[in-house]
Amino acid sequence: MKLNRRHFFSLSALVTVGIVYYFKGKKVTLFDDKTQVILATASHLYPSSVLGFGSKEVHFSSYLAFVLADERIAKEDRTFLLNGGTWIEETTIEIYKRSFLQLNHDEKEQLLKKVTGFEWGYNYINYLLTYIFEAIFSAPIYGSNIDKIGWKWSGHNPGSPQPQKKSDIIYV
Amino acid sequence: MYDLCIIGSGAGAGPVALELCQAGFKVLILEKGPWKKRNEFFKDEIALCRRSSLTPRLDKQQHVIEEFIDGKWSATPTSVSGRDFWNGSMVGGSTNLMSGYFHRLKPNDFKLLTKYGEIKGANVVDWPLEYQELEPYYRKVEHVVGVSGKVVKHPFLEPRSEDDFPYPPTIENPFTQWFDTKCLEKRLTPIPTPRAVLPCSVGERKGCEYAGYCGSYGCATGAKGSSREALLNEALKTGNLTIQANSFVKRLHSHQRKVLSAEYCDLQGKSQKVEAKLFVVAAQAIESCRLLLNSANKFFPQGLANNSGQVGKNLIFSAGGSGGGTFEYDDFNAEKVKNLKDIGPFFNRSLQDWYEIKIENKALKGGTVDFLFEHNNAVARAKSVLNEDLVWGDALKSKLLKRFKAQRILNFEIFCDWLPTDDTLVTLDPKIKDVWGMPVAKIRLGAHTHDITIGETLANKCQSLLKSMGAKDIYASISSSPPPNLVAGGCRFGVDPKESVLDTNCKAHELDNLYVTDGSFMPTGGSVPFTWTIYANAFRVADEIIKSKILLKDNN
Repeated sequence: MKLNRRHFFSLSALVTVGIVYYFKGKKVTLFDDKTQVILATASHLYPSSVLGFGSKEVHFSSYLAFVLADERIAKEDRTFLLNGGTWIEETTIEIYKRSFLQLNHDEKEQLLKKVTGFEWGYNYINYLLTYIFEAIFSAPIYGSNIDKIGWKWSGHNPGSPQPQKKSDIIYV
Repeated sequence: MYDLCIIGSGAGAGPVALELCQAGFKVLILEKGPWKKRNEFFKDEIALCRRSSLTPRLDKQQHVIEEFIDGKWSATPTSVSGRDFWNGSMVGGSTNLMSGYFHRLKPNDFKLLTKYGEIKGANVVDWPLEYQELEPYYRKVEHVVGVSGKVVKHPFLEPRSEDDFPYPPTIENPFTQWFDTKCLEKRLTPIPTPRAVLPCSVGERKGCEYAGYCGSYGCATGAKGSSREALLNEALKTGNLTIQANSFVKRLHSHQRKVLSAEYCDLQGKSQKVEAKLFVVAAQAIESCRLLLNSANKFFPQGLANNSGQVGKNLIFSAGGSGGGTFEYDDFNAEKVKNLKDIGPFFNRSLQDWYEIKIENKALKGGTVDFLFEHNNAVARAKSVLNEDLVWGDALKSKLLKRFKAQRILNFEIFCDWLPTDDTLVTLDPKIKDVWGMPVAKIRLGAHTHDITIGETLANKCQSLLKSMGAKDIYASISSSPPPNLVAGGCRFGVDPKESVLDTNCKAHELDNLYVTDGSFMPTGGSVPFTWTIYANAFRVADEIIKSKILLKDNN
């Protein structure tokens, strides 16, 4: 049985605490279901482990809010970023009859391996990882990589000077 | 009324502005992009490299790229493909973002047809001037813009009027000694790469601080010899220069022999007109051609200065390609590993031993190879681990740790002649317009197969050299896909008005007060990056404008 969007919303464990980000005066709030699926996918792709921090510790959610409001990223690309969350959720519900947010680790692993077999899924995971990399290696002023956690972990020297305040970002 | 109005502010504009301002003329620069100062440049990979924030958004300003696919020419807007042909839209142009590899053309580059003969399918011609005529201006660039380096004798070293560079080389990573050793074993001559980067403070420009980020980034110290730092800032001191940023020139208005005014859109989008006695177009090759084509009128129905039909023809790029090899730290001793980990000092090595090569006993034009450590951009390096497999979790982290902590890549970039052909040109797209309502440039890309042959020949030699150094995962990528930042041609200079757009002094054959001073004038590009030659030629043209007394005549 293919579940519809209404069912999808009822099955999803919605998180009500929103993340608010301002970019050029535009307010972006991350609290809807699809962004929670995106964040959960990111957390599975880049989890906290013995090898280092995960997407949560690097504050990927803050960076995602910045990305979704960034008009330098083509609107279609930002839409793809959001749609991917929807498609992952729809695929999950189709297979497991419940939300991606309710899957255990092994189920998420199997699900993501399955979606990479689709062209959209392969591209989407690649795309999401790219933004995770951006969150890890961007200057902390972008909202992630707090305390330079990503630079310290990788030994990356980002050069200087680094942007220290929002107005230092040349296009903001 | 201004004496001179320059459209653009990069390598072709800066020398003209400086020389004319210092000669006492009132100069206006109309620059499409913003005016960013030194203190606004940060090592911000997201803003500058991931978001290309110093070039136009493709949904507002784009190109259409036409390529020969499956037996027919197929055109794709860059807003669809994401293929970006912009190069730095700001005061100072793309010189702000260059790496500053500076090589002069060599005498044989000025006589490609005479020296190497015709190549079927290529529109090769000799330049209408000799190397010796440009040499004093190459020297001038070394001093005024600031070029650091050390002259090393080799078979293709061009004649110089001064023994050495005015500035010593920038600090080099000691790993270059390993490169030098292996080159000498192969009887090659490693050359410290001349760079438009000051190793020490000069005037208000500070010396290089070796932050490890040069190409694609604006310089925070002023060490890089951008048109803005080295030339426009000096020209401003005369009080004769006005720079008007965020001003896009839509078209030039003319009568039969003279440009009368430039029509531009200001920051508010309002259409404005400015008059000047003389106009210089220096918006980089593609956009300069587009401006002339968009300026068609009853005297020039095919585009300004284009009754010959030559505007936009014979666009060229730098042919060749790139490659590299990985040095695993486990394979080298502690001292070499320490050097490999040091990101600040430049690698700074070039080879010009293959500037002329022989294939089947025939002498052919070869090229220059620059060797450089891979760019330090972290996101780009991280993304490269996904090229092999799409992995995540600890498998991904392990790859990232190896990529960042256990290896460093040495790249090479090959610069060969992109032979001018009938199939590489700029026209106007009949449908797509930019945010100001002007037709965008359609760029047809049709490289000559000869370019690939030369590129691959040099790449094989480079790969062999990297192997001897102990590099692993050695690769090369030679293709006919052009580097958008190395573009020239489209408004050839020459003596025959039927075959060229500009005369020997880069004045339009058909107009008395229109010059083009970016790389558009180049009929062939040589086997080096173009910037030094564009700077030098613009100084030469500035001299010619002053000597011609055209501005003084108009004053009377």
